[in-house]
Amino acid sequence: MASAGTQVAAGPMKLILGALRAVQNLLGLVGGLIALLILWEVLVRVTETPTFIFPSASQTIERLQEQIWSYLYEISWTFAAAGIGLVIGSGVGIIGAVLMAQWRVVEKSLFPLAVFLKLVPFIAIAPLLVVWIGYNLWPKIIIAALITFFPVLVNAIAGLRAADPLAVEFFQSVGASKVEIMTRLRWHSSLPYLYAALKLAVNLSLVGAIAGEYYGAEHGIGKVIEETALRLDMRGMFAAILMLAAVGVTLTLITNAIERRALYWHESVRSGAPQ
Amino acid sequence: MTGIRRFAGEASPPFLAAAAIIAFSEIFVKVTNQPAYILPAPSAVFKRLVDGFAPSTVIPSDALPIGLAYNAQVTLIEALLGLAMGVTLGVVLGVIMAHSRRIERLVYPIVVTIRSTPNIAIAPVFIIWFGFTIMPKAIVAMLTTFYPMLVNCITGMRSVDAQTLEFFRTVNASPREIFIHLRVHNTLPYFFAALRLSVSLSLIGAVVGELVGSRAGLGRLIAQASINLRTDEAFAGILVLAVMGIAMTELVSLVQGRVLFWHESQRAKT
Repeated sequence: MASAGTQVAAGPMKLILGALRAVQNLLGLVGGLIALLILWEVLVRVTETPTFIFPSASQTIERLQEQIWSYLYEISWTFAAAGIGLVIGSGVGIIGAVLMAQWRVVEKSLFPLAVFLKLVPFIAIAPLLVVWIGYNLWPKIIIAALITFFPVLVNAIAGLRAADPLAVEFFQSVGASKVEIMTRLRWHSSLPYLYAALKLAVNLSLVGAIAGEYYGAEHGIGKVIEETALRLDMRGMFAAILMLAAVGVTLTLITNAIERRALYWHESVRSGAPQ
Repeated sequence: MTGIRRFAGEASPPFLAAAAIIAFSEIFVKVTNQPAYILPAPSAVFKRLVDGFAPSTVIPSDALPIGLAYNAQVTLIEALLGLAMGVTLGVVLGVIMAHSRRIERLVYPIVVTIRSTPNIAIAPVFIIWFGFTIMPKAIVAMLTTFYPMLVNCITGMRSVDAQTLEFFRTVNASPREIFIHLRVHNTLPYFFAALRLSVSLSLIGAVVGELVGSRAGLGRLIAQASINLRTDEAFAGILVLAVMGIAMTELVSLVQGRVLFWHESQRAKT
């Protein structure tokens, strides 16, 4: 009874402590980012770098304030393309991995091919897709999906395979069905691998979408950067990049938080190493 | 004999599957009469590949760079330079950050910002600064490759076995000895795991840099071929990129097998 009581008391305590630590980490990160901005401003001022080479932080932020709504609008196009592509690519990758794990022959013949294709820099066909399909959202979605598909597929299969053979034997011995082994055992062993691939895929999908936008688009932050670069409008370009960095950092924090919640039991999270 | 048979048993299914896919797409293109600029037949891509490596197309660098061999070499050098810079940066920062939590907290925001910003968005800045030289591509490749190296170095440096560390201390090992014989040794498997990933990422980085602005390289060749609807040439270029990625990754695996012969990941293979 006593132990149960302390556990109940420890529950909220732990939660509060965890929340405090999360807030502390976030504050540290925000402080670090502000320090980075100050360092940028001081460096540019001290070296008297001209604006057309490296605009200062204050100039960039000023420009960003003027354009924030139009940049937010453009960036939402980029994130829409990257997001849809990521969902399609990783979704098909995960389903494909689960299916391939069912048949040993299929896995044996297709897995090495997938490993091969994972190494292909598909980003290079972004211009080709724009030429084929046009200046709309579709080439960006396809390139983002293609870039994310193979890393997710390969890591998901590697993770499904990594299930402890003794545990698989135990499941079989207690008469667990194939579906049960998949959902209760293999799926869990695959999660750390899957998260590793997904974190890379989030970044790659954005790179893919922006590459597509460079080669022709009506909207998107890639188009903004391309146009400002052509005009040598360094302030506009740095403002767009700063915007993208801010949204990107937020995205990274969210994915890290999700990973910590889902993989709290795994050593990669428990060791406290940066993710 | 058994080794050969086992190799054939392991290697033949993927080759058969690849052959089947190639044969199917060849027949599909021929039967449905796809125009070459939409979907080139594998035979057409193969012909481009052979033409691209013909000696006559390898020309001095001051002329217009055509030919797969020359452009592949350009991309390879860019990727290798970026990889070397990225690995150096990742290892140095990793060792420093693993050593001190305070420095880790100081540097971490910068690292996260760089990693979270898509490298292709920063590439135009470097092109404006450095022009159409090798530097913008190498820097993009560096920014792409340093992060996995950094994270794995920190993990490897920190995840030393506590009991072994205690043993080192009881036999009066100096901090330097602990660093070299324990921490570096413990980091090697993590280092090679990161290197295998970084090798293919460095090619992506170089191609991304070339897509944004360049005069030579496979990324530029593929982009030009795409815009001019020479789809077979674009596919041939991608194939060369793929082979380069695999050759580099396999090379790392080979070295890894030699260096890490004592590690469980290698012993499990035999």
